[in-house]
Amino acid sequence: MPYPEPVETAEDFTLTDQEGRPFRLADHRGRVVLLFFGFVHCPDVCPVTLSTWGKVQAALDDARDRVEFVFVTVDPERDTPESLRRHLEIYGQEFHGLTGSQEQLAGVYEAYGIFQEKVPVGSSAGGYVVDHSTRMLLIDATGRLRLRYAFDVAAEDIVHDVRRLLAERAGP
Amino acid sequence: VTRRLVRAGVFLVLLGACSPPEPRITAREAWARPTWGDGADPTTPPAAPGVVYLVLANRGGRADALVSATTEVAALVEIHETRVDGDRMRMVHLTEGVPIPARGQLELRPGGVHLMLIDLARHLRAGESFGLTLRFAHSAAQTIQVEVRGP
Repeated sequence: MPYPEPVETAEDFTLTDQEGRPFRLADHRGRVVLLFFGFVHCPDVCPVTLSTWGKVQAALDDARDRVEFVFVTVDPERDTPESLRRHLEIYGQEFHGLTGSQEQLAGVYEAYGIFQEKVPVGSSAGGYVVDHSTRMLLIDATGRLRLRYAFDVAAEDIVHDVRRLLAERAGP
Repeated sequence: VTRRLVRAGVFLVLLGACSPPEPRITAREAWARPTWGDGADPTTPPAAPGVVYLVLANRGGRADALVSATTEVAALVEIHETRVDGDRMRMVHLTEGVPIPARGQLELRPGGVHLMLIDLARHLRAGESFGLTLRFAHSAAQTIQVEVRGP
């Protein structure tokens, strides 16, 4: 067995993407999904993950329509669809950037065990960052949670795992 | 034998007098992440803070510390450290500065200590560079060039 038996179904959710369209996770069954929680004003850790995703997407170019990259904000106050769109453009890739109401997001954080907490920074009033869970999740084509990565996982490792999940689906 | 000892003693005294241990700091590999992708509207102010990474080597015999930094591209520069505790990422503001050991180095790299550029005056675009002035506990301030590259 290459991986342990799947234990959990990835909880479904509907949020809003960077184009203002609804994004429902269950609509992406049949595809492998990488899920990560972060925020636009995150200077250090989130860019590492987004940069890694850029490499993963480039390496999986032949399977582009079978893999989804989903970035969910932990900072809905500042992360509008517009700011998410601009931010993801830096990486020049086709990632989904999702936001929603506090209530909608609270349900998603709870379902995925995501911790998030505002911490003030800088001299300007109201400046803050969000301490948060850095896990990246890998969901298979049948909608089950299969793997959890640390934020600094190597792109090659993700590519390897995604290819395995894609092969599983195409298997006998 | 006595003469040799005296000579060695004089040499040691001179050595001590000539080179009191001082930090000797050199900066290298300074880079920043871009804040804007290609083809976007450059007149819209930057939403996110910037970040700078670099390596500070100390070839001197005395420890120093990076205590602050300033740049014309941001209103404020703070020294932060990302601490990852299991799954939780925390940002810690290092208000006391960061030590640079004698004959050692301080590495500011992704996922660790970094300089956060707050209230950017303009966007940082890949291929550009900007000046950053570093201040130390003992050494004189240095202005270095930071290359914007990435993502």
